[in-house]
Amino acid sequence: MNRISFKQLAVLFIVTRVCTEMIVIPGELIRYGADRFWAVLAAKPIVLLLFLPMLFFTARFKDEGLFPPAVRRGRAFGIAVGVPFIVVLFAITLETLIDLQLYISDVILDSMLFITGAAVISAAAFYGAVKGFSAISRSAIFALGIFAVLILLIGITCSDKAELKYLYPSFVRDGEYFLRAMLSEVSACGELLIFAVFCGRIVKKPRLAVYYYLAAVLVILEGLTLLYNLILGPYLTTVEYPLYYISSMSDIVLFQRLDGIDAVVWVLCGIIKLALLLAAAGEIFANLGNDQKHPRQKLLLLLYTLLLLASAYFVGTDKMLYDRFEAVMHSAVPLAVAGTLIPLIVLIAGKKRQGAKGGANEKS
Amino acid sequence: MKRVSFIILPLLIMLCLTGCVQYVELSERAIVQSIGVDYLPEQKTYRVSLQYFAQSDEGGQNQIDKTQANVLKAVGEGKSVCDAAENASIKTGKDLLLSENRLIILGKELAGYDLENALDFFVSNYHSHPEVNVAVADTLAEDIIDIRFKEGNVSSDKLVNMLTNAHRHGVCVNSSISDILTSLQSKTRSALLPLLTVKEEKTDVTDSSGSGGGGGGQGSQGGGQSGQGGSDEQKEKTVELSGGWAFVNGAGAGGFSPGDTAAVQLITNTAEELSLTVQAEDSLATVTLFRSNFTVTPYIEDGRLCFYIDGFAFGRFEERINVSESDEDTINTLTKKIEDTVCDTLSSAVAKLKDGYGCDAFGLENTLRHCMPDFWFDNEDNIPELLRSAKTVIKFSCRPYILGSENK
Amino acid sequence: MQDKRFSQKPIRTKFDPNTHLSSNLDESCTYLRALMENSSDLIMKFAEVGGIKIAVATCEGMTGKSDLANLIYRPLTMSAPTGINNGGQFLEDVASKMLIAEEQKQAYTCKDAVKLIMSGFAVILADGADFALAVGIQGYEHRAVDEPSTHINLRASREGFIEVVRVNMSMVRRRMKSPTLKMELFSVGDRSNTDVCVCYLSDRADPQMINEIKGRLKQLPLSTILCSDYLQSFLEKGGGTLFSQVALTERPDTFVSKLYEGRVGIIVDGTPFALIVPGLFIENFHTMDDYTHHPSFSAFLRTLRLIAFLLAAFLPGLYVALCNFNPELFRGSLLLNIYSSIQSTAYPVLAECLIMYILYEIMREAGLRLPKSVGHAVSIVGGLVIGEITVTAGLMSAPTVLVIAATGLCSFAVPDLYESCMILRLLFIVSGGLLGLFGITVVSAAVLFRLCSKSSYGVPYLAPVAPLTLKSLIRDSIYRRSWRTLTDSDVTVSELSHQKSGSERSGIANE
Repeated sequence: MNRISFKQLAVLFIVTRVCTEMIVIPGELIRYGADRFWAVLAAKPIVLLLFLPMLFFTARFKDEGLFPPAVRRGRAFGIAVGVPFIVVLFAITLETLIDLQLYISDVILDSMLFITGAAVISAAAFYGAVKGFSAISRSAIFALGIFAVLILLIGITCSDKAELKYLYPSFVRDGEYFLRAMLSEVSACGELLIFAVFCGRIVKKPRLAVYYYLAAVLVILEGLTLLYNLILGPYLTTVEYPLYYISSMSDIVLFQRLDGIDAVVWVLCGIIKLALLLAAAGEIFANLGNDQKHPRQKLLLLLYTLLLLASAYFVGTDKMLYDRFEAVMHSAVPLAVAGTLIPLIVLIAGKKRQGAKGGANEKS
Repeated sequence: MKRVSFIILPLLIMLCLTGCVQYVELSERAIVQSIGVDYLPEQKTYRVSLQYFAQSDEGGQNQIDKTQANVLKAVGEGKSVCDAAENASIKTGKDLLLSENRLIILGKELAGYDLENALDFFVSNYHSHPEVNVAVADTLAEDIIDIRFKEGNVSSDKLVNMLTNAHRHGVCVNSSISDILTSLQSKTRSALLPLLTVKEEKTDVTDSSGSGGGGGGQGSQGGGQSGQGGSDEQKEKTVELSGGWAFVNGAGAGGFSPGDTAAVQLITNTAEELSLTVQAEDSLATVTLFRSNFTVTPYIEDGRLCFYIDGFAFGRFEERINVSESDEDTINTLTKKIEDTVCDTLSSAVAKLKDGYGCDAFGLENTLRHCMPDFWFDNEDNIPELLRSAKTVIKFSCRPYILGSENK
Repeated sequence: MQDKRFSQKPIRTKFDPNTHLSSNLDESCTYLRALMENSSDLIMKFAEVGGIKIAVATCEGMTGKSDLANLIYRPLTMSAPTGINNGGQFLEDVASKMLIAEEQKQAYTCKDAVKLIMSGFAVILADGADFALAVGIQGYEHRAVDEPSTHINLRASREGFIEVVRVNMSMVRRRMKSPTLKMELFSVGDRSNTDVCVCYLSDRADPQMINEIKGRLKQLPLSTILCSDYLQSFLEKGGGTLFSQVALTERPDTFVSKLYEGRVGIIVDGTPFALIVPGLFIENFHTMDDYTHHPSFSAFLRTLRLIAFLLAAFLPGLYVALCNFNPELFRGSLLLNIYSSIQSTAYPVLAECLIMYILYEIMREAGLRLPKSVGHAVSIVGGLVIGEITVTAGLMSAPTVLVIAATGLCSFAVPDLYESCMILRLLFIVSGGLLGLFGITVVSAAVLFRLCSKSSYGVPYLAPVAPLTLKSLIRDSIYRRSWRTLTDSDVTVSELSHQKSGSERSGIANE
């Protein structure tokens, strides 16, 4: 079993969360003004609250993910908590896949069939999932590096377009928008589920990954919101993909505009996120099946991916269905159920390993 | 597992291949250089005229032939801008590529309607560049598209360079589509566009009056011949920048002069430098203002919104004038003249654009929101009226340098 | 456990090779002849020394003729032990009392004796002795030590490995006179019996890694090993498709420097290329010259190589993708020039790129295999005919030719990654042509996953970047610290392993 450090996990989470910001959160939720600054700020303590059961879990069950203690209590119990969890995980994966495909059609390749794009993305993500959790986490380092370079380039090339007059001090003005934006921010933290599945793979102090992740994401998102406001001003409200639009104004001499590169970065991050979500599903199958290396797990994961692809086709091509699905996903309820309620149940009812003393740091 | 992969992989590849062969080869695209959009109220149709890049056979295979009029023209009409562009595309026989489109010219008639609607087509196309310039034609946009210039790589380069250069010298407003769309998001939905006028003059600019619309190949040929034959003696069509056109609530409100443009540039701190002429003792002298810095401060006076516009700039006399550096009185007089001239220009522009048209050309709304956010939110619905009725106090000071002056 | 796929074919001989040598000299000689099936390169010289009949068996061309005369024939005839009736005693006396050669072995079976004969030993058989004495007087012809043909450096040593393992070992030893430098020699390959030398610094290399490498070499299922590359795929998990974690070097200085970093080196007889395990991706951009230049200049050169690699892999794919799907990314006048160029060409950009690329690879291959004089002709044909005339005739566009030529040039800047680059380039051209930037991204993601998942002997292939090990990253990756500080922060490769960098080692090393 490959294990990673908490810093690597934090990097991975930052990449997936920023990717969500770029492709999953709809443009209508990124509006001009101070409201979004507050929404992002207010969302983070709520996310930390949602993480709390998992943080307690990592303290109680060292070096273990969410499901082994549940399975030890009883296979039926394991399946009972695993099924709703995997349903939410599936929904988040589905949402990411659809949004990624729509993002691609909107900004980089409009002539592609929906199913083609979704299939290609799924295939790459499946390959990543098969390659394993540590491979995905390592690839996130490169993605974060590219993101940093991209932001640097945009910052340099668009500095003359920044208008300080677009900024104004204000508290929440539009309560309804604030609430929607905040819920969307909370529900965008699908990393909670990933953490629940993979917390046993962190060498030590997994809770630090959560703290680092939340702090870094807060800074990055506030920074991005500031960038959007400074450069786009009131026009931000009408732009679907703000960073893409800003990068299309960036001339780095080598390329006339950076929007294509920006799209490439987010597609790469999106594939990494999807691979991670699929790997999480594979891990759950392995935990519930209590069989880590059996090739049947891979087959099961393949079937899961194909189901995902089929669902993406049905949901993604039906506008009404997609809107309803998005509304549910952005309500933060599914995340709270799978990321907080289920871990709480497992925390109470889960069974420790035989011979494991409380707090003993066992090596797997 | 491997057997399953063997089945699924080829299926996926086939799936990919079937969906992905719909790309358009670069050679099958028409690289649009500039677009004119007109509205024909009688027919209730839009007309899109485009100049697109033409590869001349005479220019060698691998380079742009600058000696030829290397653009072709195509015209399409339709019920919407998109529809008209589609029809134009059909005429060219190629897929339109808007990434190199550097200029959108709107006909005067169209300028009376909603500007945002007219620009929607260009915004929604992801190939389109967000920094493309937008201008208004004095008559039909097509008239300007008809003219072929031989400066630059392609014909439209000339007009784009003209706008950029004029903007640098403070006589043309910033007209990139992203700036226009941003300013249209304000409560007043204001925007300023440069105004282009077709003139007949004796210049080296080629006249393409023989080209006409429709036939791309013929247009090119006609333009080239006409240019070669008649560039010495005949009067030729050229394009001139004559102020701008103000938009309020998204629609055209009226024109404004180059002086007003200069005022807008100064107040919004977008002018690199600005030249103006003042009376210096016995002759006229040109002063170039540079490193100008204006601050706009909103305040409430007797319940009325006021803006205090305070500016400063360095000045540079472009001619040798007979003033000694030690002659403080003369210099003070000159400075006063410059300051008065600038203040007059600013006041006139504010009176015309803000008070007359109700156009927030000076970014007053942003300033108000930036400095007095509570006031802005409390009066969010009345911002256009408040701005229009706001009092403005203008103050300008200048520090001129007299270069090359002769010491008496 | 040996893989069933690699089950060895038994060596079928007419005579049982495990037959013990007989105390009867004639019988033993007959056995040897029978085992070698009267091969004409087996030379047997009979004599009677001190009343004992002896035979000296050698293999033609494998021994030094003067050594044979001076070290074997002359001492045996002039000063051989006398007064001994027993052949066994005679051979033991020869071995212990006469200083013939430093390498002496005893063979008890025909198989061992024949193996020694074929390795260049002179095998002395004596009547009455049921074993043979083998004396190492190898003197086969070999290439002199020469400048390496690959990995050429400006300021570093001009010596390169040659095909003889022992000469190579001496070159290594000359550069590392440390008692902890261990060289373990053993033969692999049932038929070829190739000498393989495993070298490592016992105080720096991970013992677990050493044992595992030795175990793998001993279990090698190959019958013949003619080149070090044969071993490459057996030393890494998954066979090392696309990118290999086993580095190759022709330079003894590079070899020694890697040993100092705690790696294990493998010198294979018959090839001037030595293997180094484990190799890291970042090391493909390093040369020995980097350590002789100023650190900032080295950093510049390494950055250039990295850029060259990226260009070599991505440029044609990007070009096709941008032409077909995202031309807006090109600069204005560049787009117009490309547009002008491709107007009258015969093929679409994707096909153009593929054709030019394949033509280029054919030209390279042809130039590589042909004699140098003909190679120049190939260059002329390639450069003038293919390059110039295809463009002039309108068959290919000039930008495509330029892109492929630039790509070829870039790929030579990082010769170790040439093969990987070649395949990646093809993948990117096809994916870029079919799906544009999206296709390139998807393939890049897959390649990234692949690279990130690679780790052998506990060391991730992309270390020290992923997983990030800052100490190593700032020590000697793209930027190299100066020699003053480089020695203060010694890092061995095992410190980059999962365990040391905060995560657990995986795969084979863990088993």
